[in-house]
Amino acid sequence: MGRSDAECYEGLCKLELVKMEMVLFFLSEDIAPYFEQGVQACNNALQANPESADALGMLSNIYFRMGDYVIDQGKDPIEYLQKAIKYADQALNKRPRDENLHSNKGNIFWKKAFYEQKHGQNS
Amino acid sequence: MKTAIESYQKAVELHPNFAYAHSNMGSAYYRLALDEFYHGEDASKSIQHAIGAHSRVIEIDPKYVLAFNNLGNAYSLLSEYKLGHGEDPRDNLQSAINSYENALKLNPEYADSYLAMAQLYRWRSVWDSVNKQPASVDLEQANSYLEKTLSISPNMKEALILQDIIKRLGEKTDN
Repeated sequence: MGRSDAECYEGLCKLELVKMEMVLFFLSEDIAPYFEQGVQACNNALQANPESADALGMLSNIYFRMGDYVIDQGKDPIEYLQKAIKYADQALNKRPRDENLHSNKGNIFWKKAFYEQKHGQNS
Repeated sequence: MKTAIESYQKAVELHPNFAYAHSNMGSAYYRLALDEFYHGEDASKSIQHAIGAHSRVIEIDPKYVLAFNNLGNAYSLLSEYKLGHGEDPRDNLQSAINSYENALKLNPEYADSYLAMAQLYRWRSVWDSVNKQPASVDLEQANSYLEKTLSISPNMKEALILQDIIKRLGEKTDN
């Protein structure tokens, strides 16, 4: 794969994230299929460029959005949120001075703490 | 919540004018303060951090409606905290009212701020009454804020609860 391939895959990863967010915010549909496509697209991007902080950050966001969605469905989001944190940390290892990555990581911890507090767990 | 705050703190250290991160940090401090408050812990530092963060958002973006509303919430919690510690909450109540008024100047259809004003006016009235002070707020105005809230958001749960409480109190007084 060449450099341009990696950028194409990152573009697809971003597209899938945006699709997922649009379905989440504006349509009342099951986002699981969009989630699967998003994870696949971002994994392709990471295969093309394992050093991509952007792809890791987007993968983190895809897991975060899925966590948010399953909370609305009355299910436990922790598995998704923990993966979101894992990928946010990996992205920050590549790009430690990215304020958006830090802010997004804050949003994930917030969501996790909020869920845990609501369900009587320590946060 | 503390780990969320640490991440927002890093974001604003890297980008001091990042209003969104300051706003989320302020809201995270507010949630932390609420948790401390309801567990009988010292919430004053967290509330002051929330006030600082939301004030910073307003410095960066003076048209950030949500920041004025959130600042009002933080001052409102501070007044509640002070009341619980036997301190006079009136200055903080007034700061909360000023913040909500600023939010409403920017967005006259912002239902959350109308509801907060209705609650604060009622609370201030109770404080005046308990402390044998002359009435400093107009309860009719409080009712009109509640009506305005429900005209914008007819199904807002908190507004319907307040309306129900007022109705029940009225019925109790009448009896």
